[in-house]
Amino acid sequence: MVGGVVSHGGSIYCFLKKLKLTGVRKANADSDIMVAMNRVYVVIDCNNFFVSCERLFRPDLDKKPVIVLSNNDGCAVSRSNEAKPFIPMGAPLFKYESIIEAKKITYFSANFRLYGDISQRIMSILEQYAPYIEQYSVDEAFLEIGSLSINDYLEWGRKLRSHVLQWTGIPVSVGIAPTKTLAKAAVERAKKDESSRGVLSFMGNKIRTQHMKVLPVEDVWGVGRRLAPRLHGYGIRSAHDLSRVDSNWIQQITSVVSARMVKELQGIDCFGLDITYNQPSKHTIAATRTFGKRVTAQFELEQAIASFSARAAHKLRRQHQLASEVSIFATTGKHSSMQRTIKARLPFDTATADTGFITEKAIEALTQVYDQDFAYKRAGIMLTGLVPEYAQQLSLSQPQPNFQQREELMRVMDQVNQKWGGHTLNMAAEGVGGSWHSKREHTSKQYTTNWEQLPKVKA
Amino acid sequence: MKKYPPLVLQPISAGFPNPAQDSDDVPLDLNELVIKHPAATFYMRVEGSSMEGANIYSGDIVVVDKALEPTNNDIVVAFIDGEFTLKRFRREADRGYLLPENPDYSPIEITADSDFQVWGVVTYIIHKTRG
Repeated sequence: MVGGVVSHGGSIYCFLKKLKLTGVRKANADSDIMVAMNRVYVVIDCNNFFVSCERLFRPDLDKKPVIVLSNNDGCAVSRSNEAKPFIPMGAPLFKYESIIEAKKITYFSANFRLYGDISQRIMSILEQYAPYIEQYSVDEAFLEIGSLSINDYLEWGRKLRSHVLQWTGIPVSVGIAPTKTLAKAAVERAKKDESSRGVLSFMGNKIRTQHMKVLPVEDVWGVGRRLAPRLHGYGIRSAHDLSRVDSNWIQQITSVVSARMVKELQGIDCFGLDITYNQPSKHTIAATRTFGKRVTAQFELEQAIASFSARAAHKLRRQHQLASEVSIFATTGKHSSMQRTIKARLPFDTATADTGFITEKAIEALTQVYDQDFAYKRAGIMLTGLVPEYAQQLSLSQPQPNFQQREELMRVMDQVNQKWGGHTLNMAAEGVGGSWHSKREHTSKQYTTNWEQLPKVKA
Repeated sequence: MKKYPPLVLQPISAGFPNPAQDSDDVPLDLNELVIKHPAATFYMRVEGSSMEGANIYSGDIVVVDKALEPTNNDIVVAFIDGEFTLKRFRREADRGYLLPENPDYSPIEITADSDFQVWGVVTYIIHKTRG
């Protein structure tokens, strides 16, 4: 199936190539019967990821209230469980200064190099567990394990969780189910239900139903803030209620997109796994998204860019390539009272596939062109100048031999700037080392990416 | 990060097998020697002299592997009393100790009440001799 458009959580994803994963086909030696295996999806979601990364090098902050702030506008983007009752998501620092002091909440400015590095470590561990993997954002991934012979999924999930915790210090929640939407529901419940110890399998009907009855419908992946009240109006309050609805009926009152979500809740796999890296593109890797709800705050856009960076970097590594530059864009689209498109491109000194580095550069690019809050509808990042992994030796700081190409590029940029108004297309500063720090006074050290900033151990 | 070997091919001779054909033509990589579990390996900078008896000096870098379970006599990074500490791990019967390697420092006993955690096991020490 090509060109399917799917919406969930209010966001729209364009699956350019939805691979029909039929799992492993086993041929019966006698009668040549092909048996398609059922798919089993796993969602791994890191708990309070940025905070957990900070705690890795600050075990003294375990069980204490900690928050991580976005780079530029100092909004809380990650909060430890101990901080959650006092600091809502997106809370601006300056408004909460007294509470932060009263409750002794430790705060950090986001350290994307570090988070990207840890994210990459976790992904490499996950790659040992599953043949198919889709990195969804910096702290979340989908696995598909239907082709593995696993007797006890819960046991398998516990082993995975414990492995990640021991090796990286990051606690994760694991949800296992026959569809992505159910696996996401399992992870939601794993986070809330302490007795699950972070791992839940919805492979069995009994446990699944038990939990679905307790999961509010607004916490189902694909139910946005607009849909939930409408469902409440029909008496649909729990995920279980929603799973019992007729998908045709739901399609009539909302859209085919919600119908797919309902089918997924019923155990019918509609989405598959986005593993387009199996057909590698030679020139570009993109990660983009159209937002269900428009993004109006810089910290939200920053988070989205961080997610895309992790996604794209992972695809890059799976394709055994390195990128030479990153571009970002955000647009309000045409159907907006105030139209705006911002774009920026940052080249790298050395080709890389490092999540942390790419994320930091992408956010740097965003910071350079973000001036005002607009209602952004769509954003994304693109990695270009792709070279094979073994070409790591190539230095990119040498002048490009193809002057004609560069001239052409400048011409196009000028045209775009003219059409959309000045400053929409920027060739952001080239070859910046680490001089961009702006408001990141409270960033933790680059523990894993800078020899001068290694964590200290006292002898 | 895995590196691809250079695309150097031995010429195929129809007669004798070339014994050199099977050997790696890849230059030695210190990362491969020192890092067994890349996802679980971190570097730390040593400050202080309590481990000099084990030839670990202030300013050295230790390679710390979180994937390993600490066993008796391992040099470990522990988190105790609010900081990372480098010590030799000793387990005797039901007691645990974190031992310094310097007569000027005293051992730390680990009890059930200790606010203690082994963060990782040291596998290599990098000591710079010049510069």
